[in-house]
Amino acid sequence: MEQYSCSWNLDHYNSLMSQRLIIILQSIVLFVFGSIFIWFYIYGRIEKYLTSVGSFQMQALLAGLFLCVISTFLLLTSSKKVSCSHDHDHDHDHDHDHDHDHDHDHDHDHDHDHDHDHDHSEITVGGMVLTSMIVLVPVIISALYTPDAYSKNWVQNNSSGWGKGVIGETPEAFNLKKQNDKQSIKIEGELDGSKNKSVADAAGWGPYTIDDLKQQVDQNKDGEFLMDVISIFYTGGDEEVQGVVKGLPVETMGQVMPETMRNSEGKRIRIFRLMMNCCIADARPVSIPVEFSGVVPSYKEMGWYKIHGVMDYEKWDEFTIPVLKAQKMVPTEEPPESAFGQRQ
Amino acid sequence: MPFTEPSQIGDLYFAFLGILFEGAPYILLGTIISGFIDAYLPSNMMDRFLPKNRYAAIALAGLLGAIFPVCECAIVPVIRRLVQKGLPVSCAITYMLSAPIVNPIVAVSTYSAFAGNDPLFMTFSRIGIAYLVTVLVGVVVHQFSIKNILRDRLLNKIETDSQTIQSSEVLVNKEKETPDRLLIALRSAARDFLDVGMYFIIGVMITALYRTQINQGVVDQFASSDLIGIPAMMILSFVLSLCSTSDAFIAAQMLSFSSAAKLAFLTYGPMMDVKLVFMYSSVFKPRFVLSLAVGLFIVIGILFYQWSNIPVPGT
Repeated sequence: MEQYSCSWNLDHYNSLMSQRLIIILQSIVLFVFGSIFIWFYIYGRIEKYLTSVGSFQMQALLAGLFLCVISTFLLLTSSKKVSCSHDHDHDHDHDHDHDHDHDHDHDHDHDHDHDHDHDHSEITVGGMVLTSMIVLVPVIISALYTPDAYSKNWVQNNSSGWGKGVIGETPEAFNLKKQNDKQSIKIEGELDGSKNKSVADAAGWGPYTIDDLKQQVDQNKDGEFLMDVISIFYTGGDEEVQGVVKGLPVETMGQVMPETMRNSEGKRIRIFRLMMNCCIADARPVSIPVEFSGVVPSYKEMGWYKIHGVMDYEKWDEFTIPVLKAQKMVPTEEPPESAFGQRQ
Repeated sequence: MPFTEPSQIGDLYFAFLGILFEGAPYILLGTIISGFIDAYLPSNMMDRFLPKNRYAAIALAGLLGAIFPVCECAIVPVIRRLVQKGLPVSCAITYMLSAPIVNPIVAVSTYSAFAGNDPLFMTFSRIGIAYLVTVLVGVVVHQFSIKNILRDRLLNKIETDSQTIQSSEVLVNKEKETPDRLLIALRSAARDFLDVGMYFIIGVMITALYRTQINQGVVDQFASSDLIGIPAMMILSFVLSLCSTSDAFIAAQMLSFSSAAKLAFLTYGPMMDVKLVFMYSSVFKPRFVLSLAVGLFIVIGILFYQWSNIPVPGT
């Protein structure tokens, strides 16, 4: 015996409306979320957050696009009822309580779809609003107020390693010998026995030379080598490279901070660049000391500068520290990709 | 263009968005997979593919990451759905903990990060011990009722689905309606994304807070011995919440610490970190998450403390 009730219909209607409202809310959250990803990508700001090495930036764009597409799809289909993917066919007689005064005196045998949420979710409109707030509020506030750069405070918190030199292997991205090594391997693979080294040396692919450096590092019109701070830092871990680089004129670019170590004469500052693996949260500032012959020119802390000078090296305990003997410091614009990726 | 100048609070926003932009695509991928599992994978299908012997199934689950590599952000929505679809909880937890480490991507990144510093030893130690630990956890979890492990909401869903399957199995002659599976999949994915994403965002906020407001140099003070260094590195990995594909590059730079301490960092972090605590809480009871965190900490700590007695070249 089955009896229909008006209250059941009303509840059913309310349930449907709640489900639709929840889907609309979900769509809005996903759309806003995805739009932020697309916004940062289109305006090039994503370069400040994710390394260009690998596909992290593209992944962020694709995620943004997918989120917007899914949200639009869900919004357009929000009124559509779906039956469950697994079998929910019910075949039973119903006894719905009457709350009105006429009889439905018939048996009822049917399959019906309750239009329930697929996984029988107990989520409510209130719960969805709370979830949306937790997800969206921090994201929107951060997106609106992020400076796209770290402050001096962060650099100070992450500068504990500035008194140390190179530990371990030089990342390939910053290894000035990488091209030379590849060529050496190729030559050694083609030759055999003890002749390898002498032939490779004769061919110029054995010991590291100024020609090897010129192959990998561009020079400006004044003949200065355009070397990034991180590559300079890692030369401190290779005596062979130091032998070539020491005394060479160099132009480098980075942000500057006061030097707090071994600076009794006050002639030094620090220049640093950020090196990140995946995202800016795992970045660390890599720096070298810059020494002026006289008084340090006035500068803006955390400002971007090009520094022209000559390479030198000092022993700090067990480490070899590259020091740039500066001749000129010129303010410059922040580059689009302010942090270097380490992975290759 | 940014609207503000760099500041201490700006550092927090900057780091928060960095982790979000990196992690959210993987969570989206995980939730889309979970949505399609929901719509297309018949219940109990996973159980049918696994060996009948539960211990063999757990051992196999620990290796699934080699075939289905999933990072720790994406794995949570996936295993939540797989559990709902009948994957035994012990196998699900083993897969959840092992997949972010026991997979080819992490093997390559670990090898690259330690190039020149005994990379084979570091890579195989990391993967081997992670596998042992996750299988051990699976075996231990198998001894407990899922009522003590899963959140009530998920338990209710499993029970409801199982009752529905039983009733539907009786009805073999009924004409079945073809559901709109794509819509089901995407609705499930959206719901999962927001559900897991909420916990992810809370975890990311805490991680960003640590990364930007605390002097990172304090960690080096704990490198003096393995007795302190190993737990210190595990705590650090917990707080930093790094992705398992990139954490080796960070660990490789911490040469103040021993190889054992670095391996503990690389093993504990992908299994348990701040954001994962919140994400796991969308699946498991808080008491279980706490027990898992403490248990993993003790087991991994002891294993690597013993490991530190093995002479490692380059240390």
